[in-house]
Amino acid sequence: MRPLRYVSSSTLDAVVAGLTAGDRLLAGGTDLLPLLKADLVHTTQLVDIKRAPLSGAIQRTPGGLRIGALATLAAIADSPLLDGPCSLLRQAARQTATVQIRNRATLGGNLLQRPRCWYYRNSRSDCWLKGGQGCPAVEGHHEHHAIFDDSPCRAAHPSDLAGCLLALDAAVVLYGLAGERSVSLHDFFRAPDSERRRETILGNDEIITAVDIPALPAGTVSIYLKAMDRKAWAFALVGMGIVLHRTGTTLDTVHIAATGLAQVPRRLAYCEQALAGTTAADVHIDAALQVLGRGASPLPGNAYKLDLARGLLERGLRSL
Amino acid sequence: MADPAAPHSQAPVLRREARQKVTGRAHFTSDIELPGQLYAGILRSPHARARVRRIDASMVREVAGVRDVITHGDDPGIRWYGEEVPTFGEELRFVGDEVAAVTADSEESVWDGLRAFTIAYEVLEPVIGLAQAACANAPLVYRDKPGNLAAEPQVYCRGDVEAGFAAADVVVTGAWTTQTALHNALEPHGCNAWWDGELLNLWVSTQSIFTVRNNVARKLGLPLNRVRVHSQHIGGGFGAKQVDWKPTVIAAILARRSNRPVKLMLDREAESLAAGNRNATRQQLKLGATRDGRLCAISATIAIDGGAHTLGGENSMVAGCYQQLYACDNVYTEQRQYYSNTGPAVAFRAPGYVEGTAALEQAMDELATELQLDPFVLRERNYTARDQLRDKAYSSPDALRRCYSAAREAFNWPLRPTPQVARKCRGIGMAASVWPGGNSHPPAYTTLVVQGDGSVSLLTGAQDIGTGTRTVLAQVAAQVLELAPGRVEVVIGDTATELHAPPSAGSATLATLGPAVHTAATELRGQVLALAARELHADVETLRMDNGYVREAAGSRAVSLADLAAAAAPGSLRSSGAVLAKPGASSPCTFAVQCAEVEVDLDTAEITLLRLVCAPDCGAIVNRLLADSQVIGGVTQGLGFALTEERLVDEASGLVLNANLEDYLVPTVADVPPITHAIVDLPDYSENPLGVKGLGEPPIIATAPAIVNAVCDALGVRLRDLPLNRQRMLAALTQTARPS
Ligand SMILES: Cc1cc2nc3c(=O)[nH]c(=O)nc-3n(C[C@H](O)[C@H](O)[C@H](O)COP(=O)(O)OP(=O)(O)OC[C@H]3O[C@@H](n4cnc5c(N)ncnc54)[C@H](O)[C@@H]3O)c2cc1C
Repeated sequence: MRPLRYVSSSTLDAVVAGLTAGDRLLAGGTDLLPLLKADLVHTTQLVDIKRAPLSGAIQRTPGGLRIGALATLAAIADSPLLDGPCSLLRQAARQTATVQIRNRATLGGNLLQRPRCWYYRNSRSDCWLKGGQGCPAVEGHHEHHAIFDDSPCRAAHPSDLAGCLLALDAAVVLYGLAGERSVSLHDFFRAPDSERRRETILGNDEIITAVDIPALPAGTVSIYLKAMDRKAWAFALVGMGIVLHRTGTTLDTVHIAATGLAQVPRRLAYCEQALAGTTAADVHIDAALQVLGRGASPLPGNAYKLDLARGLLERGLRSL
Repeated sequence: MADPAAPHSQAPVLRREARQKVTGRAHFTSDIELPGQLYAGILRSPHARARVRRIDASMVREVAGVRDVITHGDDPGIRWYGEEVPTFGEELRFVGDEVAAVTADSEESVWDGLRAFTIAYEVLEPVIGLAQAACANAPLVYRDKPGNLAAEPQVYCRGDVEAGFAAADVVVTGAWTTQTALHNALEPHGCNAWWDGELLNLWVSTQSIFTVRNNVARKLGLPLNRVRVHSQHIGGGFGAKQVDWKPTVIAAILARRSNRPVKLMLDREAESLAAGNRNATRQQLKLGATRDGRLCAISATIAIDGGAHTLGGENSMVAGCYQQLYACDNVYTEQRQYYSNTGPAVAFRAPGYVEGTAALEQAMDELATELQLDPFVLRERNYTARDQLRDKAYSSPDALRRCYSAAREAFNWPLRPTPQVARKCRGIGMAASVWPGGNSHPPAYTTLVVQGDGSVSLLTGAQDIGTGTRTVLAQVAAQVLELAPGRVEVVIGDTATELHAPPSAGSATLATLGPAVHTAATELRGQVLALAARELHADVETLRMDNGYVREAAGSRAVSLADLAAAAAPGSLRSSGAVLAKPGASSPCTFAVQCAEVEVDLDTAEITLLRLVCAPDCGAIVNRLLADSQVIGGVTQGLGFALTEERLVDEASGLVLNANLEDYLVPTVADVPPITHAIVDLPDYSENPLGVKGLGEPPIIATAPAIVNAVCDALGVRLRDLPLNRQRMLAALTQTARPS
């Protein structure tokens, strides 16, 4: 049997000290336990952080909103504070996983969940992300995979919330041996490369303590649209988060972020540029849809995701 | 039409174990724990095609808690499947093929043990999918099976197909495909084996306790009276549990070696790899019809991906619907089953007919469009009251017609009652089906006993796959004995009753056991009334049974069943009933017609099912609640087949990529629209005095084509490959002329 110690820690410093010794943090455990069982994560000590001095509160702050790393997806789905510009978070949380998982899963764990790629998760298959060579999805089944090839790994990022937070220009608050730092989500997520076969730049000694969402001008609206293979309990084929603000009829803020298209959640900068400063008339929407695939290199089995992303973007823009 | 023999027509009697099941108190095989029990697990091949060069189990034996290891050579002479392969082969033919097994004190130690094997494999190039299997220079799954053909092609021909097509005004032709689907019963396969001295006891999650008993006895060289199979509650089977799979025999061998009970349950992955599936098909079709919509010829060339083995008696009858559903003088079908390096196919709820009907009924819809005929009208123009395959009249020649009208009426065809929404379009579709099952599957035996206290026991060697067998059998007996059904206790799921009953398959249970119980109950009623007449000094004709008593119809005298049982002592009030042969004069098939309304999103190609109607013919309905359950369950499984369910295999490695319930998408509640069971309730007395047939399979057959036809109606584009995933739907959207 594999010995596995389960402990809980009462100080953050003790938690981060343990991380360098190979401890693994257990929040809701909804991703960690499957990964442990599939031999994709190895550790001898699990540190339950639900009793650490970490918050799960969703609060207003002078600069906007703060969501504690331990906030459950259920709490996010129900929070009255997440309205207006942040309502897309609620929508995304409500479309994530199942009620049972949402009751357990936390925001911190959600941002750090590993890809759902069926080659990565299959213990009989070898792949680059697991330390091997090559990506079997390229020649194999990649219907759910990334259409951008920013990494030797073709897995698409699975988190619905991550895309939404990226569209909100949110930042993660990290705590490590060197103290606290704030990193924008834009920098936090980074496609895996040969030095770092992971989707974030989180340090080996760091823990997420919270996510900060900057205040957005009054009247900012948002939407999250998720295309799935079935009506519930499925990961996004494509998820589209849109945050807009208008002055008069002109769009002065256009943030668009997609999940399911790339190795990390991705801002659709070309689309944003095509729309910013316009009235979002049909021609502008068309122009945004035209550039949605710029830079993409879809595989034969996932080119449909481009059509799907366009469909979601158009639907979202027209409904806001 | 009401026949006195028909039990409580349509009575909505609650399933007897309903409360037990929803409160978690029904004990399934996986709940059986025996004193001193060990756990077992199977090491499965990581390769789709490989030779085992060397097995080093020395580290396995070192693992704490591991008790025993068996590999090839430890199963003397036992052979499996049509190909007679050993339990643990040296040649492995699919990812998941059995390599070795381990017993240990705990499940955790089993896992650790399985991880400790060192095995040298010689990995060979696999054959994955129909295209590869049928390819001229493909590797051979079996050296002695050229062309990867599992059997001689099955050819059927009636009339003159060439002449038929020559006479046709309109021809629809093309290729349709259906995918490999997994049964995914809630409870996986598994068993608990315990040798009580020389008597092997097996608790098995099975659809056929007698099949398991007989085959396990044969494989282990035991007399039949030394094997006893138990199965009280089964968490579904859908066809995959009617054969005796390897784990049962492996557990029995391990239990004998350790002298301890051994429990071996498959996990979800093993269940998805090595416990059966619905075979994928490719069907090349041609339908010819006259301008007024009469079919002049049908031709179907069918290829089936049977996987690595053939399982006896489960050969998929994909060609059947082409031969039976419509009146047509000229029919040619040709069916080939191929081997490939994937887990073997096995019967799956209406095997063959689901796959065949999916293609035929889509093609019929295309024909209706070509002819500008309403789909119902086209089908009714080709109505047949005869089973042209068996050259006999259908036992219910009017049943399919009744299904057409019940479905049409319940659906309000072709009206689309709901208004159109912006950026969405709606469509309606229908499909019909025939199924050769739903009739008796002899032999079957039952025994009825009046106990000393007047309670009644009904014994038979059936098992309840989850359809409510106990409940309906009690209803049949209680009707004859004029008791509340709750007064009849039904004892099933134990071969020690020695009352052989058919597998819970082919929709045969009620049609086989219902009449046997009816015979036994009628006989028992006669005994009871005769004894009561003696006790009351009355004429039998003046007596009637009434809720545990026999009363004078006119007078006030009565005697209880308990008193009668005492009066019978030292004898007893007991009877038996058997069904030994099928009537056979006509062809007792079952039918169904289904309609679907769907909405398709013009931006995202998402399909939303709005409503489904299913009008199945199942003879007389004995229990409305249980009948509804079969319809809802079958249609739900059918819509999964239409939209989301597909086993995905990596072509290079043969790995099953979605061998779990996260990636293999069965419908959730949110995917299932309102399903209406449009009642037909047409008793069929040709087979039995109850007028009953079966309903397990008919409701799944026409669901997928009805849905596809509705989607095609919505888009004005034909789709010919299942399931209708997003990729296919978005491709279809680009062809649609619907407003965008
Ligand atoms: C059936 C199923 C369906 C799902 N569907 C969806 C879906 O539709 N959309 C979606 O977005 N997600 C989905 N998920 C993923 C789910 O949202 C994540 O598993 C969950 O959010 C992880 O949170 P957790 O608290 O359980 O994390 P854990 O499993 O406890 O942890 C995950 C990882 O994060 C680390 N970790 C956790 N908290 C911190 C912290 N504060 N700081 C540093 N490291 C930390 C852990 O050490 C571990 O490595 C699904 C999961 C399942 C099982």
